[in-house]
Amino acid sequence: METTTGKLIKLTIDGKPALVPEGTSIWDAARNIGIDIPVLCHSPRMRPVGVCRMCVVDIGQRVMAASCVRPCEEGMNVDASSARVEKHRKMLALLLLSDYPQNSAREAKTGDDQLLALARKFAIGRIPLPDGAAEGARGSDMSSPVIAVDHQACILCDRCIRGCDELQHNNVITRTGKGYAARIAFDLNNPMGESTCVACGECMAVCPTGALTNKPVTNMRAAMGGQPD
Amino acid sequence: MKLLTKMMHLQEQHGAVTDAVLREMSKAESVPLYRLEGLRGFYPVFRVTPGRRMRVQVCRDIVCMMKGGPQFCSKVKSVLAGVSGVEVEEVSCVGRCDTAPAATINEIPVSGSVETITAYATGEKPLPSNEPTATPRRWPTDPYSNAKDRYGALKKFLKPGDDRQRDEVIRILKEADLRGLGGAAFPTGMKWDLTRKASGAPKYVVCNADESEPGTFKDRVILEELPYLLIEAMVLAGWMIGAKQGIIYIRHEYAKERKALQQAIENDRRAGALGRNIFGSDVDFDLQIFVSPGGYILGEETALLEALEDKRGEPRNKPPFPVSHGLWGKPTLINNVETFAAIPIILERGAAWWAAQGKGNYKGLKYMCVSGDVAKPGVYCVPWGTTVDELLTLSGGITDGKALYAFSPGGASTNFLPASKRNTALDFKAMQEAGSGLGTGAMVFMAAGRDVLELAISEVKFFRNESCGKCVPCRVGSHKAVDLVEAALAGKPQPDLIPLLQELNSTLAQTSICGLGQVALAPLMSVIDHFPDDALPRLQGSAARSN
Amino acid sequence: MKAYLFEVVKSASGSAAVAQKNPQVKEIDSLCPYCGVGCALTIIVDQEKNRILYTRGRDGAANAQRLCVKGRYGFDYAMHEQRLTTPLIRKAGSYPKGPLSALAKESAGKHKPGGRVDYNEILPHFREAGWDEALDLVAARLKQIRDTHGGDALAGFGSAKGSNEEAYLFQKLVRAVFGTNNVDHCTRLCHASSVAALLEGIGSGAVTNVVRDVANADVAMVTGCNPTENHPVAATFIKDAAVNGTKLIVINPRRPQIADFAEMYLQPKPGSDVALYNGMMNVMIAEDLIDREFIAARVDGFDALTKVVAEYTPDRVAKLTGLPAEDIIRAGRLFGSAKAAMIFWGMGISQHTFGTDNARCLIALAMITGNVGRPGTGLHPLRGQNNVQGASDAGLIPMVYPDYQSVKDPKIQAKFEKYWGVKLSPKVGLTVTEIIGAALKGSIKGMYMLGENPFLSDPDINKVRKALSALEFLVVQDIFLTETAEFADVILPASSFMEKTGTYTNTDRRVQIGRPALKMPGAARQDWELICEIGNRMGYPMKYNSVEEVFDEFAACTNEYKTLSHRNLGAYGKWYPCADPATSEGERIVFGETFPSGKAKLVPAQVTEPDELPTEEYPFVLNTGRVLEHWHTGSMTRRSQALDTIEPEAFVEVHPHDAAGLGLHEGDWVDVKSRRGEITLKARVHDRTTPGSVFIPMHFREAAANVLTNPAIDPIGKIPTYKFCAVRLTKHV
Repeated sequence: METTTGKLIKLTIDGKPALVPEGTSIWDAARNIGIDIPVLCHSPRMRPVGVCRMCVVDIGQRVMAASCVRPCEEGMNVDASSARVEKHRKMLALLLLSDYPQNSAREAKTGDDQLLALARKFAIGRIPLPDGAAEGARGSDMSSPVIAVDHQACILCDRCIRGCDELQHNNVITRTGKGYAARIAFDLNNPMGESTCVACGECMAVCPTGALTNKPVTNMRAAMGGQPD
Repeated sequence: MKLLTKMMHLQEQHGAVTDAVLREMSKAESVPLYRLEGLRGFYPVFRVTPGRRMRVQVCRDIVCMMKGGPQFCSKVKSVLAGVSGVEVEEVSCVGRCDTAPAATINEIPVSGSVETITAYATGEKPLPSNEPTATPRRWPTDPYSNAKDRYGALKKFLKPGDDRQRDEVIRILKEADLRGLGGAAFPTGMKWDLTRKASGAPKYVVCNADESEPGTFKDRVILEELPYLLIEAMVLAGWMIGAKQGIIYIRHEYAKERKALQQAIENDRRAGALGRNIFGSDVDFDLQIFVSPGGYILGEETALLEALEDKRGEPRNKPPFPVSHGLWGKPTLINNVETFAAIPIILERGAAWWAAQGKGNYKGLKYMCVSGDVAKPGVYCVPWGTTVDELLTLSGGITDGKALYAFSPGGASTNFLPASKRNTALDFKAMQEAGSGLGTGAMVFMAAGRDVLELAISEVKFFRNESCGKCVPCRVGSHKAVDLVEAALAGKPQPDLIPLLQELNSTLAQTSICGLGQVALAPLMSVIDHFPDDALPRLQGSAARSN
Repeated sequence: MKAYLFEVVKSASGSAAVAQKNPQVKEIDSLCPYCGVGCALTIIVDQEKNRILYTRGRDGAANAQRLCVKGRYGFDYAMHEQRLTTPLIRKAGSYPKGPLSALAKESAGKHKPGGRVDYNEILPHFREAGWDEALDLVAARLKQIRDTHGGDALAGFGSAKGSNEEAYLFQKLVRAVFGTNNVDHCTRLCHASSVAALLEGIGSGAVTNVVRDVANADVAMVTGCNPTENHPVAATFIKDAAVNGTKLIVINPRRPQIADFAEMYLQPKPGSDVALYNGMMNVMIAEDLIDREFIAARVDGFDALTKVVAEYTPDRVAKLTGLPAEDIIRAGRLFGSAKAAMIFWGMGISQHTFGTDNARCLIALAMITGNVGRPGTGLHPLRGQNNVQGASDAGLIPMVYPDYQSVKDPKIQAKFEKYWGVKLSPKVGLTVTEIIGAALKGSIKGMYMLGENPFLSDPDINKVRKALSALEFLVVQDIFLTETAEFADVILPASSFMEKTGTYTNTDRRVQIGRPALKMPGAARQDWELICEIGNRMGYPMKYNSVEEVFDEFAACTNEYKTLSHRNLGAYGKWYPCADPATSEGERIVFGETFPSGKAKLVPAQVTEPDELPTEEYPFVLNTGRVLEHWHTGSMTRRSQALDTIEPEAFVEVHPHDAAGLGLHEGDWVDVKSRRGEITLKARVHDRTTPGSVFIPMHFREAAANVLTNPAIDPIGKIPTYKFCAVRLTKHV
């Protein structure tokens, strides 16, 4: 969020007062006063896109606002933590979990799967929605020597796309397809290992789920059919 | 616009935007490959490999399902399976609900039974012409009795064309209480005023001619038969806000309507109503048509802008709104076809005249699309405040002498209402108070005996099919809701299905980025609420019986 | 219903979970060992298994959590089974010395030979020894040569990959113990000409503005470099700037990927650089796009420069460079009218026989437009190695002591004689390129090489091979057997970057601390300790309790480092100069008021012909350089699974027109010959290179580019002309 005029805005978040420069997002304002609104697609290193909707807050309007993209307004009264808001966050987590694969590569390798972290936070035990991961339909891509792609674990948060575009400017990753069939793709929907990807790993580093993870660095050549060491 | 237009041309040349074609385009235009893939994968018009000679696209949505039966698409598919040179696919509403069941063959609209459509596809029957009507009808909102009289409003206000004139136009529009007729009902005068006052340049005027909601086809008729009213209003809009450029964003399924529009634009240029120094004033304004590469979501105004900016048509987060941050981040005035087309007569004859056209305290005239179980489906221009029942009578009443059972008054997103609400006035507020909405003015009448649950589910499927996929609640939620309901209808209902659907509906309504997600489950919920006897037994299993 | 979720809900989250299950897994804040960007990262290591699991970017001043493929995936070389683990002494029967492994002349065919030194060929010539025996032998032999022939018969090559502490100790050893200034490192092959021009022009060879300051530039010239491959993370910030409005002027005879973001891309004829810059200055002066106030206050020599560049009219320059005259004019105008313009450059400027002249032109461009000392301006020679800046600062240079203090200056000599308690030589020492010649002649008889592999990295390696064979005594201290080690009398197994604590100074003048994550394999020892051992055994006490003490001693004899210490460098380091480390990060931008030499001195350059022009017999220009995935002589990266898998093979890049003329297709084997040797490798056909020119990366020993390169050097910087020599290509039969 860019500050435009240098003017300061006063608002309340969960009953606490906040004073921020004009142009600050509700999410940033909340974080400044110690309120951590859960996120999946948002990262302070990148432009916010507000697609996962996990950060929604109630600002007293017809619909909730995604706090990562919504600028603060004078006199705003933000409810970031009530049961009403939490209920929606939990439903969003359930929707994503219903398609999530049984084993998250991220959780296994580095223990920092952010979707599963939210599942713990919301104490989710049972998922009452149809299981979309059973077929493993969305497939995986092991063509890159260093990064494993598991489309089933992808929540289309766009972080990898922004990492590849806005941070590294390698311009390889896009969303392709539409609706429920949307997935990430490399170049013209080529296998990652055959695309213009330069293996900088930014996509893997910013991915919050098991969609993009490191392959183990050793024994790679044998795994890819080359000569062993 | 540049990349998408080029991709559509290349596809015409090569039959598809293949990888080879895109690699060359990537070099020629200096855009990375992934951008082109993002566009190719998103817009239904694009193909990765060339298809067969005859591309048959059969509508799968509510009115065609009513008229052709729920197996219509699969019947066409199975009859044409194995016929060489023919491919069949199901598509969303093509905007020909008045002649349902409908399909297109190589973009040419056709209608009729399975036999008729297959006869067209095999070449047994020659395809109908795709030229605009040679005999457009006279409509009540056309102030010009003949072509020579046109542009009266434009000529009146453009000279002297100063700020007082602009203030006057705003005053008239506000007094006339004209509202956005694409479904959002935003006061038009206010929108024109806000965009006029917004700072930034250059500004743009955009006409949203992407009407794609099932049951809606009124803009289609206006585009074909009254294009000059649309153009005149856009020039006025350009003058009002200080824009020199206007774009009409039209769905690709309206090819013959586009021809009419293109012809009208050329006529208007010759007549001095478009281009430089319009009618001798200091106003420059011109129009271009942009053909949508497909998808209902492009009717959402910010998704439309994204497409014009050569991106995937995914709605933006709002605020900011297009009036201040529209096309390329500049102030942009976007209005629906019908909204624009109402403006010349309002300005010519005045707000008082407009008000008098409505019934009672209602103001003005409304184009209603009527389809479904009626004798004379089509577009009707009626006074605001006309009742649903009066409209039904106008359109010939329910077919086969049956009784009215239910109706959906405003398009796929509006709640189904029972026949008991037939005396509701056609008006935004009145319809809202009745428990639904006027939306796009797309009235679908359902006779007794119709399976309203199944019809409501077809509307939910429409939204699921057309979801852009950007945000979680809509992309995943619409899909899961359909899965849940289909499991129930197949005899395996989930326990607590109704409360679960209500929660899901609440989350979609509260957290989706745009209107599509927000209303995706609404038709289903409305049937659960208003038609419990039809819905509950099948959704809850034999355990529940209404009390 | 997903069963695992019950478990997930119960267990702890994130690294806490990992720690809970794996307490032996630790996170070490350190740096990337590869290039001069100096990315800060965290190494996650299983200390029980002594294996690095993965790395994660840290929010360093230079990288903001970004990494490239090498930093992220190229760490496993340190754990390779071929790490040297015991001292090795050459067996008596393996004399006279020569290369012990075939340099795979028959590299045609599917089999990929000799990607690395074949240990089976080398090891039989050496016997394992204990540390005392090996170190005593080294000390004795070096001492003997010194005492018999004088200190100048010895020389040392230090490492630009080693830490500042190691570099300081190494040059101290060579100067205080060997008694000579024959100490140098690979900057000689890299930015020596740039530094020579900068020292001459403004009195300092370090960058004036940090890379990320490009965000403040209206215009950035990116010349003679390929940052997306060689400084990838720095390039991301240049690309950020371009996307946000900074106009890039990219100049390179071989189109770099960053040209995709350029406002202007110029592809001049190889070797015509001076003409191009003089042409731009001609336009700028003619159209008064210069900063007269700045020139008056801070620059000498403008009139002489004006006279020289007056001859470089756009039309004349167009003929010399092959570029359209209007492009030269447009480039001059673009640079000249910028409010803030910054210049990045690399080997394409420096690695020529006129490299110093090239750099003089760039300095002049910046000076006459006042583009120094302010945000978004300045001179930034992109430093290649992770510590080439530090190694130079620490005095691994034959002409100067630490902090560029001249060895010829009697006052400075006295200061160091007092500091080190021993007499020192006032004679300027020999550079890397000159040392090879001297070894061939026999005037250099003994050498100590630490973490350098001149056999592959020097030009004309057949000549290098002869020189190394001629040495009476060579001790090589390294982590792997390199091609150079094949000529050694003693090989000492040393510590990798992952196994030591040390400070490293990146291209931005940022001094950061690298920390150990792994334990050294076998009997390998810390480099810094080995240097001291040799000094001690040669009779000069070098005793330090810790690496921190070494840093303190180094810092105290400099101006730039004297306020710094391991304590105040902390986790993220500081830029130097740093007046008050307690309150400041250091200076991002320097020379806002004055230059170290006072006023800047402009030295005009005339375009000269490259040393070895193409002829009928050798019709192509050979350009050499690097690729993203590999590092220099490949001893590290070709032992990294990921990197070597992504880019396993040597290649020669040929323009499609030239390929057609030669009957070559993608993947065909080609013989490439120069007056110095011949190699065979596969062709890649691509239009990014200038027609008439070919490109070969330096990393692959089986098709070593430096078999072909010309050892002619720049007279002032003494840097070889890696970027230009003449070759012939024939399809291999």
